Amino acid sequence: MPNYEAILYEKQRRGVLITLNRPKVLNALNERLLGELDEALEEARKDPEIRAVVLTGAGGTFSTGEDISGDDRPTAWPYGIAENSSLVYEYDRIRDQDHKTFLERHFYRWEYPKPILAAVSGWCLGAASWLALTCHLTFAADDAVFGQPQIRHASGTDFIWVVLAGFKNALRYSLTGDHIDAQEALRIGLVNKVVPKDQLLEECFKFVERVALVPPETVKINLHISRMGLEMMGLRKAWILNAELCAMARLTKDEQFNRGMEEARRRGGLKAFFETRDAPFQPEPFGPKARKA
Amino acid sequence: MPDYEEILYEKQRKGVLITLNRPEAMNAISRSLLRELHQALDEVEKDDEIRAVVLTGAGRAFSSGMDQGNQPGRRRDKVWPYGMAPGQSAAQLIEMWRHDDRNFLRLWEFGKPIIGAINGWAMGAGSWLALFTHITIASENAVFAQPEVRHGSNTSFMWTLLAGFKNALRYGLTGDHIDAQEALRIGLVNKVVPADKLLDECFSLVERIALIPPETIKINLAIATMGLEMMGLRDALLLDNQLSVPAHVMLREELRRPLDDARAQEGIRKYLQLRDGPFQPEPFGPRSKR
Repeated sequence: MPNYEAILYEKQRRGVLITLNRPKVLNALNERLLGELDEALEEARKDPEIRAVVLTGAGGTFSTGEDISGDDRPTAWPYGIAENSSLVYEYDRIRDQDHKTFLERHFYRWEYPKPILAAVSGWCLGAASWLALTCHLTFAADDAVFGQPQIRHASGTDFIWVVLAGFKNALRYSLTGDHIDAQEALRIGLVNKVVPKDQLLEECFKFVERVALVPPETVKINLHISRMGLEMMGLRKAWILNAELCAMARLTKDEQFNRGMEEARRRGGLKAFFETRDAPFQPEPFGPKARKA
Repeated sequence: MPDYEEILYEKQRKGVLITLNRPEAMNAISRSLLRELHQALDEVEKDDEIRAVVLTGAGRAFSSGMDQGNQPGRRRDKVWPYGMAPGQSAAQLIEMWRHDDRNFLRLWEFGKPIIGAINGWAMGAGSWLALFTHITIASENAVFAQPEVRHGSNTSFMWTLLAGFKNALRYGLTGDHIDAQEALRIGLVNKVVPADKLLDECFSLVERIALIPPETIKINLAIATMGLEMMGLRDALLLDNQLSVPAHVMLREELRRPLDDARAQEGIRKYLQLRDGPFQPEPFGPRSKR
């Protein structure tokens, strides 16, 4: 069994609990963590004792999304790309990265032969929302908050939002980056169930134990019927196009919109960056930032 | 009937001959030429006497491709290493190239047969225009190629559809030229005929088509074209359009800058020499000698 640093891997009750474990940075997804998650899922896939995977985050929050702490090279304006870089280099890097980081991993999880349950509490933002939503089932704690605020600073959304929430609901939130709470997530179809926070893992493992009563081959085939059907309807193609469009979205930095927040970041770090980016959107329609006008 | 400037529209023998008519620019596809081509197709749709279209080019080319002069994002005063024009952002450049280009798909979906009469050079988008026609007959002088990939551009999935995966990549990755016989071998064209017989051959076919009820023709066109669309051609072309964006905006300074400089100082001929010199001799066509 590999030595994990950024995740925890704990077998229990016919399944395994995989915990995103970078609580100091709200479990932000970096390559180290995602690479370890790949290994852990592969390990769980091969282990016949494990009938289902529960994926959660340490410290009461799922994850705030992609770790952008290293992505702080100054931007050349009006070009909208890193100083002294070039569009050919940036575009190629981002396309390859989006294919590897999102597309290949989406497909891997999506085709996984055992159920993966996301146990979401606290923040579940951006790429972390994609991670949670592409799991086969998603259980939310009552304090869960979903959102894609990264689109406010030039980034893409993921088609899984459209698949689950439908066209209008997905656009309502992906065009603004607005936050939604667990109840709204339930209403629009992002999650299966909302439970009190202290019962979240118990609820998930009860489900794992129920799944374990069904023959594994039957579980596998029934997973396939659902996910392959959506693939036949075009989901795989939609995701392939999605990866291309996401690369473009990440290159849509506009001086008028992005320069201010990047300067705030240089002066006051990531906190100032987020404040500058998100203040015009407050109060949010749902979640902890919904109060105070 | 509209007044055409960049095409000719001549009804004859149960059909119409539409000629791309900018011989001084080797019939490069300008926006205005495309607009006129679509106007002409509007007219063909309304005219019951016309049972099929023959599409050809004036002079020694069918078409040399997209007119670089009036394409978006083609400004040559680039700021390096960014590879963008002064004052331009990546966001703007990408947006300019991101268009859902249905221009050629309309030919594909057209309700009357369009026969490509490929009289000479069919380069880049000129080759795509040739391939989007329903039936393609080549003069022995025809040359097909996509040399624009050499300066940063995309191929079209139509090459893969018609020539197959390996043949399409052999030529799509190098921009190498092929002649009419090679085009016939790999499936880009139906037939190769002597140059002076090209139009007669096409209109003989128009006359044969005219013996069949137009509704039958239309349905049988649709069975072939829509069938391929149902098999995924439309999706492939959609992705093709999106991939054309990175293909056009990703410019490497060491490869592109000398070309742009040569063009700015000495014109397009020098640009083409610099770009294509290292690829000569070509495997086929007039540049295959020496």
